Amino acid sequence: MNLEMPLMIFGDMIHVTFYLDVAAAILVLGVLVLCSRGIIRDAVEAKLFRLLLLAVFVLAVSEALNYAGLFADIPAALSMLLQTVNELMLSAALIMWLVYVEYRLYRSRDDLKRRVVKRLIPMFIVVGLELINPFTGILFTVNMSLVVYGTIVQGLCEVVRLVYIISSSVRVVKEKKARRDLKFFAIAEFILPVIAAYLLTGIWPYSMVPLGFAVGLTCIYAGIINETSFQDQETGYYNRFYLPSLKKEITEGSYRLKSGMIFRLGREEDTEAFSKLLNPILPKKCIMIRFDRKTFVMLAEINERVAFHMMKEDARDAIQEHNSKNDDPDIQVAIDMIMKREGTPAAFYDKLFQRVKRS
Amino acid sequence: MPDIQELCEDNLETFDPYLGKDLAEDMRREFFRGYGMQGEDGTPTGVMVWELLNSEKDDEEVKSRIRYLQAESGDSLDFMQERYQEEGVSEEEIKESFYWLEDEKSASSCEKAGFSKERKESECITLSLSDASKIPFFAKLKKIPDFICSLETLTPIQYRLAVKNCLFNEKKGLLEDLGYLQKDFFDTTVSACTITDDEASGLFLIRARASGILEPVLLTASGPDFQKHLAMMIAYAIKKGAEKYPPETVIRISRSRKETAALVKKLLPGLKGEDLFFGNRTEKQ
Repeated sequence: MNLEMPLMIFGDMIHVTFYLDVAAAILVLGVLVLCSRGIIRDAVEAKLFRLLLLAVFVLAVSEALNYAGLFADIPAALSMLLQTVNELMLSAALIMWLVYVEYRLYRSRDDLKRRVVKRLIPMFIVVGLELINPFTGILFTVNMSLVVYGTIVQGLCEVVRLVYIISSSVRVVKEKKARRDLKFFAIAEFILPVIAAYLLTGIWPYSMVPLGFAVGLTCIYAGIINETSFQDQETGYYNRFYLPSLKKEITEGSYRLKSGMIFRLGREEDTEAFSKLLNPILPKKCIMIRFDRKTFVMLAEINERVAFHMMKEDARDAIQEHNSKNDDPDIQVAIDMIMKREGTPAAFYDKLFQRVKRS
Repeated sequence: MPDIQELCEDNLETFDPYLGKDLAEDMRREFFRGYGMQGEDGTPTGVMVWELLNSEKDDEEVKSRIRYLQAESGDSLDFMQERYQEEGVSEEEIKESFYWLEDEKSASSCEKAGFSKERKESECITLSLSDASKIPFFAKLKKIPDFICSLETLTPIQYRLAVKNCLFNEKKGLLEDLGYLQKDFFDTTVSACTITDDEASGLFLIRARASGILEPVLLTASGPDFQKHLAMMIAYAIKKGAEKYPPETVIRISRSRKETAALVKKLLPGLKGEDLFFGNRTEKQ
């Protein structure tokens, strides 16, 4: 009896962990399939997110196989290989998480290249240790297919991983407070399941880390879908469904609307070409809304006339250049500016969109 | 009645001796206004120059900074003050005027016209290019990355986008008329920029004044490493300045913005501006 109890618990642990890992793998695979449908417009972000999902998927599968192997009485060498893959994938998932966060925050390839390598050095060291572990046992050993942890170095590696998760999440939270463009980044929904998974793994005999990541990434993806519902698929600008939420921000005072610029296209067919011309000349701080098939509205928190004149001139120049180089019918655009002189930003918003609707 | 004229392109040359090279250059800018006074024989006898602030912002009060006020006699100063109050202030709907002046006679004329008057340390400090090169923080920055480069490398479209980004972020530095200025208004060799994803994510604009003084007028950067980029742009500009100008070249830094004042305090501790007269007046419409 005394001998059977631990074995029962051990067998239970294997089963539960196996099923949790399979659930995590299925969940991540589902998100991966959905992701490949091109919902994320930014190609770099889409690629990084897919790689992150892939790393978590392999992590879940390798861990499931490792636990399944315990029943099949696999050789210790194979168990070591699966465990090493498992550890490497956990590190890969964290590396991809950091890279994804860096890119999502600033959407800049150059900033990513400049910043990320230095930040990844501790994780590269962890990966190096994981690679040499099968020959040195510096992190863990395998005894009769069972993984035996317990070295100080392994503990340090876990600390590095946790620091990665927490520090990158803290950065997102800080940035989110200051930037409205990050409001759909569901960082709390990511960090809670991941941290809960780490804590539960510490107190329960089941490994829940892949499931924690899978749930967290599903929440991130849900945030992306939410954001996409407010985006015009053709141009990437906000669509008119975003307006109620924007009006709420303006009324609450978190967006201080002071001016707007209305672009009215002559033909619907020019939408895509027009947005391509506009993108390179658009200031980063403005909000661009595709109001209807032919109307675009640019909003800003400034009311300096020269800034809008520059914008108007640049738009005209870009269109003129496009028209002179293409045989297609000319793009015709009417541009209208409106500035807040008095009253509240909310009243100005109403006035601006009344003018947009009248056109 | 003395002959007081509004300064414009046509009569700037007449008042050149009073204005000096730098002010004559500034008078061609968008928000600079001025009066010139001539004696009966047509010789210039006084000049008053002011710069309008916030004049393009519909919901902010227009202010005026009196940049220069000089005349042969106290009466001439008073005449120009009177004209300023009667016409200059009402035409531009100025709500507040202030001055920083070196000359006590001019400051007293302002006081007579209702301005306050006090003597205090100027916002501007000066140092030589060789002193700037010796600032330990920048001297230590030996390797400046390739993405920090001269303003001259920016294409017109990149420059305009950078300016628009500054304007939409309300970062104009000392340049009230930033949106009106062409790239070559600045010293394009010494002025620096940060290139990120083929766009200028940082600008350090420096003017080489006609008098030979170098004047940093805008320092801004965005992105996660903006502080590092600001420091690297300054180091780059100092390096380029040292290559182009003699070591005794004067750099004049205005501390009117609190960020600049904090930076100067940190990098150049103990450096003081000269004592000037300061005063302001709320204008009645």
